[in-house]
Amino acid sequence: MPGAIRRGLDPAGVDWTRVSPRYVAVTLVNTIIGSAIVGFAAFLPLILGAPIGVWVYVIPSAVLLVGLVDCLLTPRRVRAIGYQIRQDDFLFRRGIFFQRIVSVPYGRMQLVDINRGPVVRALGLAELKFVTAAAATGVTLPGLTMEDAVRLRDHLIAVAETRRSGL
Amino acid sequence: MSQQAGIGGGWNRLHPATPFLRGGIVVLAIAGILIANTRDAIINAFIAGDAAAEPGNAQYDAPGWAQPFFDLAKVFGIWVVGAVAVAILVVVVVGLSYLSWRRHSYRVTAESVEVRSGIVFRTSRQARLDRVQGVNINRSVLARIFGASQLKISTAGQDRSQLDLSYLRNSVAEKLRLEILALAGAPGKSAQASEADPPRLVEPASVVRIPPIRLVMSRIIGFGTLGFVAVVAAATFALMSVDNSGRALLLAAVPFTIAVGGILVSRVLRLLRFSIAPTGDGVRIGQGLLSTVNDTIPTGRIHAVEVLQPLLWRPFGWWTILINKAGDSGVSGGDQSVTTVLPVGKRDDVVRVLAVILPDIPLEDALIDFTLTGTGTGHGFVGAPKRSWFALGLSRNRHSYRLGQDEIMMRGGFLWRTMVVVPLARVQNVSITQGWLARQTRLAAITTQTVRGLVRTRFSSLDSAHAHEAFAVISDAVIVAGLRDEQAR
Repeated sequence: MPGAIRRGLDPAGVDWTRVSPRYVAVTLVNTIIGSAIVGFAAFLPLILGAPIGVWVYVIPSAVLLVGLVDCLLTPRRVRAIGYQIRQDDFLFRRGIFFQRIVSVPYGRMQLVDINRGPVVRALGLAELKFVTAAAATGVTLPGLTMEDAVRLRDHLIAVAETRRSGL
Repeated sequence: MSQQAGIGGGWNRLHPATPFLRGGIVVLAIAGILIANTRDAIINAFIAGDAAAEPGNAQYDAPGWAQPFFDLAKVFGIWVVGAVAVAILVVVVVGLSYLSWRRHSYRVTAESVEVRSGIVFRTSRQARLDRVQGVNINRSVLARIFGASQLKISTAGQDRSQLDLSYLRNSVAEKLRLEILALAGAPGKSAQASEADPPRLVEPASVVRIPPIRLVMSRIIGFGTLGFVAVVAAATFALMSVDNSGRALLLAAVPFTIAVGGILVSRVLRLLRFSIAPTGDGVRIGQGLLSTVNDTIPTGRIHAVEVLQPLLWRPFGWWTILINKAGDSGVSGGDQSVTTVLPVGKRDDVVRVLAVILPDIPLEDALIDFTLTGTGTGHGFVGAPKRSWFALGLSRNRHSYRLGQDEIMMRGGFLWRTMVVVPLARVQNVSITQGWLARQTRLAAITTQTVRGLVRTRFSSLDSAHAHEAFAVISDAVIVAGLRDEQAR
């Protein structure tokens, strides 16, 4: 785990299971596509021959720089994602700069979704989404291999059934 | 068919005035638009009928679809044809309304409520009674004239999961509400129970009484109204001093002020005659002077409670109470979903309302007082460390939380005092978060997430070492409370 996590939220006695390293590729592709779209928009003035000024160069460079930094941070960010299946709840963590650990009691889970986008599917991955009554912050666990996702879902559904409570 | 609504009964019809109440306004509006648009054409065609007959005089051309009408009118005369047309229209509208009313029916069985409707496309909607989250009764002004009520049954599910029985006779709506809630609250046993203990049709007594003058005053001061006045006054003054064109601005400000006043009046009208009372099936909330809303919220659906006091209310000792409740589609509930369980009340009202909405969580008076107005720690409250002053400012002395047996309480606010109570059995997940700045100052925040709503259940600026312990303890407590809650049912 990166140093920021050791200094930050790192509860003792929790052994995080990491998500697949292939998920780095997924986020990279998403970041590159996103930056490309924004970058293209930023380059438009230059392409369309707007009057030359400093901003015509500054804005696209800034966009590219942000995209580049984003790409460089991606592997660390993916390594910061972790989960643990505990006796009565599911523990999930993510983030380096802004860190977050969530505990979802099995009894509160209503649905477990498996989502697969095109890039995710190409790499044989899947994303698990837990739906509780708190719709505002659904907990999403990305970057699982398909087998892991199915196994985890079946396990969670099974334990949720036995510990159903509290809507 | 008689309005013999009841459990196990057959299919029942809605209130006879339903088509009018549902679509009456729309029909009138459409008719008005049609008349306004065709009036000129009709008048022109007949007043200047000869001119229209001459070719090339295009300005009097009637719309193509109306041509047969004009041809007939030339033979039989305008009044006869007009009367026949209106009669046909009335027959069609009344006929369709009657048909839709005939085909719209509902029934309540021991397990479910079922509604079917539609003339060409038949729809049927069924709600399982053990999934019912709450029942409200709304009465618009028009409906009240006809003695009709709208019964809305909300079920578990976030959006569009309402079963709408509009409109019913008032007495039928009241009876159904009680029966549905009895069945929803305790499936199985209730059939006998309701026989032994016939549904009370009398309104239970409200635990608070809000004098209208207090309600009006509370809406005028606080919640931004004074801010609005100040802004308008400042803008007027500023513009007047710049150039003497204040008159124009004043003219513009008048309609604006009227609009804001209108909003204020409607807010007050909606909250007048507020009542909140405990019933066997949940908390019953009624409000409204012209249009009335009657909502029954099972207490298990209340996920978070916030008591708050804006600065300007402090001299009067007024408080208001908001809740997050399950089965709500979101913040923009409008007047159909009640999330304010006390519009304005004194300290004693707060204590009584809290006892009603959180019957399983006994809070001592001293604890409530300390949470509402106290500072520092005590009563088991844990505060924020001194170094969090930059994040909390003057509210640091009040910023604290307390983990109880069945609930977690959060207290804060220097100018706007707040107190939040979250029953642990309702918490959906617990999270601990830390941003960069917080990490540098060894702080962290804990959130006990509930259903969406106005009440925020995040507690920030805890010492991070303590936050880790608290996170473990709270998430355990949430699991235990959930299991206990399940066994109690």
